[in-house]
Amino acid sequence: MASIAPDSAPAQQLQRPPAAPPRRRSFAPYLMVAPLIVVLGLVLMIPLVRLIIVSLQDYGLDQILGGRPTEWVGLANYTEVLGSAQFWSSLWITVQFVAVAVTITLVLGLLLAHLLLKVSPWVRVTMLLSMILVWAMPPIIAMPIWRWLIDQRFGVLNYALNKIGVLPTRSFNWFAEPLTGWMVITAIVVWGALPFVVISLHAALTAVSNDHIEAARLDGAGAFKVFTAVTFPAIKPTLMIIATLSIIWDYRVFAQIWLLRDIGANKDSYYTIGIWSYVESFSNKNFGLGAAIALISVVLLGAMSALAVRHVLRSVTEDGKR
Amino acid sequence: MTMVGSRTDAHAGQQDSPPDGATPRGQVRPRRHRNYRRPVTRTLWNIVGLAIAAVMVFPVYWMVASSFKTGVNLRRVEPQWFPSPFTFDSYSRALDQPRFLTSLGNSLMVVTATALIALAIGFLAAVALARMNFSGRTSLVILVIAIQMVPIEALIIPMYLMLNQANLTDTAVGLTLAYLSFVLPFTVWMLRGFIAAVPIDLEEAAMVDGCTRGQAFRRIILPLAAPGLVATALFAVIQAWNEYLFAYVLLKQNTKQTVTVWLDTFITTKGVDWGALMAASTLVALPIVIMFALIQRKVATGLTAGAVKG
Repeated sequence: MASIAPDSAPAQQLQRPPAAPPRRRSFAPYLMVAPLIVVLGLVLMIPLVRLIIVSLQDYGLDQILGGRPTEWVGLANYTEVLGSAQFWSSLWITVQFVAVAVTITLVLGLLLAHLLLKVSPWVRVTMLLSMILVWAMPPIIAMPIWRWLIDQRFGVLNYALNKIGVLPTRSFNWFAEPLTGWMVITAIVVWGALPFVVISLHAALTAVSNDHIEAARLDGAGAFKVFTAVTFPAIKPTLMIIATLSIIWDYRVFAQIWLLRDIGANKDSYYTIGIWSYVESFSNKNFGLGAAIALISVVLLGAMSALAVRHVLRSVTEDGKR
Repeated sequence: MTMVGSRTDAHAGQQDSPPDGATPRGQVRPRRHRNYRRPVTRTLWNIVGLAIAAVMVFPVYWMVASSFKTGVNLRRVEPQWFPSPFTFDSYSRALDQPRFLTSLGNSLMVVTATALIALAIGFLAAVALARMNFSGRTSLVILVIAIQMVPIEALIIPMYLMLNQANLTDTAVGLTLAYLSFVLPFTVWMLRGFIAAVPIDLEEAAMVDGCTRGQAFRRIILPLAAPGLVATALFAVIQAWNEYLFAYVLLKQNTKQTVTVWLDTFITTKGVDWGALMAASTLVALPIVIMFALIQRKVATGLTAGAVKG
């Protein structure tokens, strides 16, 4: 934050050298962002407004197919959502899942990114290639793969875990209990998210000045002290962006849960806010209620990641000013 | 061992201290001290690294291996670690499925359209956001970030209702519009970052040397940000290709399905023909993996683009 003052001096100079063109900039930027604003308005703003409108209405099959006029119900949908036990349980499930998945992803990501710096080049290449291969896998493909891995009769993961004594039986049903079911979902999500996190953090780490690390070491700093005093401040902007993105992505996880939870019983134990909103809208055809759930969910996500977003914004406005 | 050690040192020091060989003599001592310790710990780290790589990649390996196994070997009590009678039977069973090629074509069309439109619009806006000062710039940045927090399930409801009213469900146009809603904000965000990462000093220097703003842009920013543009294009393609929920809700006719939805119907209709399922999964993942392989070096450069700083 202290770097704003020295940075803004050269920014002043930037305006000076080209004496002729700078007047043109008053017009050009608006033309350049115009298409973005138009398309974002069409595919995001209007749907969002529509979402708000629908959430205030009784909007079901009668309205879609029967052509019945929509009925304004005020905040009835919202009071129904906030008053139902389903809402609070699915909110709790969502928060728990996001907290656990993001923490595991970031901790593992930091450890692996550091490990990449310590290994021989050929091992680093091997690790990066394996990460890129996993990253390249479409998430939807992860569903059949992991189903196959944990298949009750022939799953190789069940076989291996049973062999080393973690699982009592080979035909273990992971989705019989919510806890183990969520372990599988978390494993899939972390497995899929880790490559992006590790590779980005590795890139940030290699950009950290070796001289600074060397200097800190010569001054007697241990590995942990080097990390907190030199490495962490340098990679903090990257880390904040990754943390924000991870929260958003994990909060939005849908297919991983939707396509796996049908394996077992206890379906309600897998209702995140997103899943519940989808079920109300498209299974129960109660679009008004679904829209209210979705909107509450948007507001909650905003609150959850507000802190991280503020950090990102601050760094953005800083280097924009440069 | 020592050679490997010194080679990585040169590699790691590359970014910030190019004259690595020219370090004053006084600094040689601590470095040799580290080399003395290195071989043992490095071997240990190498083993850990290889083990992690193996664990990470195993699910993918298992998919491919299973797709080449015979039915009997898929159902062995003791898992067969390598497909020993190699067979393509699973692939022909998977390809026998109707509509596979159609859905592949559908995906290709929607993905290409989405990526091209997002890149064109996103690039123009990203340049303005990263390099130009205009009123409303900060609020637009906030908008672009805030929009990414909108969960896709929230948009799916109004998107479905609107496209339904406009008779655009079951069309590639409708799906492309829906895909832009999540690809475009991300594209702008990434592109802005890559363009902003090009040091403004270089641009200034070029303009001092007599370049116009346009020339400075073409000769300085564009080449330096190019890996970032490629990486962003790739990201757009992959995100659109992998999308499931919009396609699942918006496309009702079988012939309009994208490949992710096709795979899902295959799972439910064919139940547990694991061999065919793994073969189909391999085929769906293959185009993405090939793209990654072709472009992998540039992705890595694009991701480290932040390192251009200084």
